[in-house]
Amino acid sequence: MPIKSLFGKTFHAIETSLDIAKERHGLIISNIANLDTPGYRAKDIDFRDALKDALKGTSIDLFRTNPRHVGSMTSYPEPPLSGTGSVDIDKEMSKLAENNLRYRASVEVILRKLSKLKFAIMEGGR
Amino acid sequence: MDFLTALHISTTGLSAQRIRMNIVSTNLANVSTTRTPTGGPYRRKLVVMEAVPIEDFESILRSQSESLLGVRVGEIVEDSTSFKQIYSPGHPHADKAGYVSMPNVDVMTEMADILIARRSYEANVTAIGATKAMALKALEIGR
Repeated sequence: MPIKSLFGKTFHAIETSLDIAKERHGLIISNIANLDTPGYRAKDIDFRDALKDALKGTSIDLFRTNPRHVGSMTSYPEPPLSGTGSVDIDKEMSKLAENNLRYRASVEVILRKLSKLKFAIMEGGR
Repeated sequence: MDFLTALHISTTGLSAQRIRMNIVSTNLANVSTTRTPTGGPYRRKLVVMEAVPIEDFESILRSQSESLLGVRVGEIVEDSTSFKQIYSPGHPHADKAGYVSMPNVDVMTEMADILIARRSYEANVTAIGATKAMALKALEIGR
């Protein structure tokens, strides 16, 4: 039996979701740092779309190389108010928490899968 | 983006807010300063935040045009609104009509600014906490 079947599709999917959550974390953090920057546009990626794209294998690159490309990364269309950026602190903080939970959940899934594997290896023959 | 970059971005936010806090404190301390080294009353100072691209190894490698943005205090400008005139003929800095030019610092505005700076600072601290939690959670894999 090839060892690949031990680490099936699930691992790949979780790994991808970890990557996306990490990238998104960077964007959210960057938005929070720029709370008071005039003219700054908040950025975000849609987790679901990015994951779907990545799993399809079409693109794992979450960033646009040209600003005119249509990508999974969106800037909020709201025009920046004068003297302040377009970052909504409540939205960003809740996104931060949500993304953090998502990341931790994915890690937890990996941990549990691994412990299941370990159980099968260690205890299966007893 | 790795977690250290995320920490670095939040740190830029922290230091920018700290500078802002210093400027607000300067304004408050000089709320009734009628003479400065340059002459004339104290003028209120304002910070202007500026987004600054954070170049980590990965973003350079992939030559991403849209990199993550940190923040810094771009410039510290002087508030150009006019000075408050207060009638106080006995004051050594009073003009001929008996009016003294007082700094254009409004205590209420400064207090509000302190609160905003503090909240922004706290938001960045929370973000650092979240980054740390994620990094530590990732370390649990393979334990």
